[in-house]
Amino acid sequence: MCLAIPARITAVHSTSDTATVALDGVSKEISLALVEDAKVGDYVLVHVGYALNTISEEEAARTLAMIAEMGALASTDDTP
Amino acid sequence: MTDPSGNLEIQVNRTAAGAQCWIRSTRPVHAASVFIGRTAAETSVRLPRLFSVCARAQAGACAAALEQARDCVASPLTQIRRERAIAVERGREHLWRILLDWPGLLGTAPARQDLRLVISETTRLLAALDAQGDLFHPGSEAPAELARQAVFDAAASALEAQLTRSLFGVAPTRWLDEVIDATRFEHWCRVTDGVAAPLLRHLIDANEAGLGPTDIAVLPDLPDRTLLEALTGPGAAHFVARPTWHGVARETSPYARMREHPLIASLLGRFGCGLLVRLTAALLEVATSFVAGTGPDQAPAPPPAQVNPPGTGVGIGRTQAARGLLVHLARLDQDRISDYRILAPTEWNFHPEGVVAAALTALPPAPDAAWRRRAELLITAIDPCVAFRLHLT
Repeated sequence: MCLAIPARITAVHSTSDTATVALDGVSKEISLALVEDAKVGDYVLVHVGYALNTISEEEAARTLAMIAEMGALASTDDTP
Repeated sequence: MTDPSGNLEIQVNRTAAGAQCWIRSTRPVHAASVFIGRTAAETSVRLPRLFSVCARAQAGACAAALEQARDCVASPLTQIRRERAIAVERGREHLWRILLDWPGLLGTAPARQDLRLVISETTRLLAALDAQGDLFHPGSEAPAELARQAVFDAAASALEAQLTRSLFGVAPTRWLDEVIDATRFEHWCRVTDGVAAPLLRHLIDANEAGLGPTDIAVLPDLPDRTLLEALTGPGAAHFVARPTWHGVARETSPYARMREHPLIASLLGRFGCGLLVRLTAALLEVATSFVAGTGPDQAPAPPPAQVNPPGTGVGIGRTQAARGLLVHLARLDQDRISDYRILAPTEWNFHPEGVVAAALTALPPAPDAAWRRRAELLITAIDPCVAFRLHLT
């Protein structure tokens, strides 16, 4: 199963069609080539370096909460 | 921060005696346990939003598992519409790789603008197929007519035009009718521009079409009862991380699905089960998925037999995601999830002894740069879905 991670856009670099996003407090460069009209403050789903689409802040918060819960579970699971 | 999506570390050691391959995955294979304690209704909504890369395939497997656990079956029309939506998504996922990755394999720029248009039109198609947004809710009833038929038709026409321009040179249906064997395929490769044909003819001309043959068998059509036992038994956690069948790794992929199609069967005879066949299987699925997703409602396969007598609260759901078979197991207790497992195709294909490992160790000796390029071609063709790093020694 593949996750796309919600991230907030902190800067848009229009000349390169890229953006800087904040992911759990860490800045990362991503491509905006596949989404239209994304702007600073928007939340986007990020997968392998690309923004897939914009989502609401509420939706981003819900998904991030589940991902955080997943991380807590992973630290105690029985993965071989 | 550790990437919660996970990644694959692929290590290949090459010596005079041959090559050895190790694959280590950090994919979150047990992430579905996050739904334990949640209601079936909440799970059917939240799960595809969490696993959003193949959201419809995930939603379809989830709905089928929950419906079976509740002893109900979706209406035939609902099953048809779900399959159509999953087909649209399957084609879109292949187009991601074809339009972004294939140009780079020939040293040209990714076709990002083409993919942007594909995403825009497939988004419109998917919205029109599921105007109420409840197609994948357990027990939903699809309406007899699409509420946004005009929007759907316009998006289908625009996507067909885009696929003609970017890939096939002709409409996908015509390509399927005309390119039916290796001879016609080679001719098509030589007279067509766009993203796909130049790479495929390059592989033929460079004698790279047969790279990476393996003897890994295709995953058979496992009965629900068999999957249920594997996904609930004492070895379930290991099974979803490193699945095997009868003790050996298996393949589930576009090639596995398409290997009996006349074009793929003909290419197998001429070039063997290597790189060209794998890439062409994905291209073929772009065309067949377009036809299945945008064509009329057609009768679905009959529903699978129930796993257990009614009332046991457990269900298996399966869909054909872009990268292979996707299986969900759900167990309900008072309509809340008490167990949830997902078995994804990447775990079969990128198993440490699976098809990718076997294909890489079958590559002939070559200088580092050439060997790496060929290895990346093979990995891209089988498509891990997540980021990977290839280490050579």
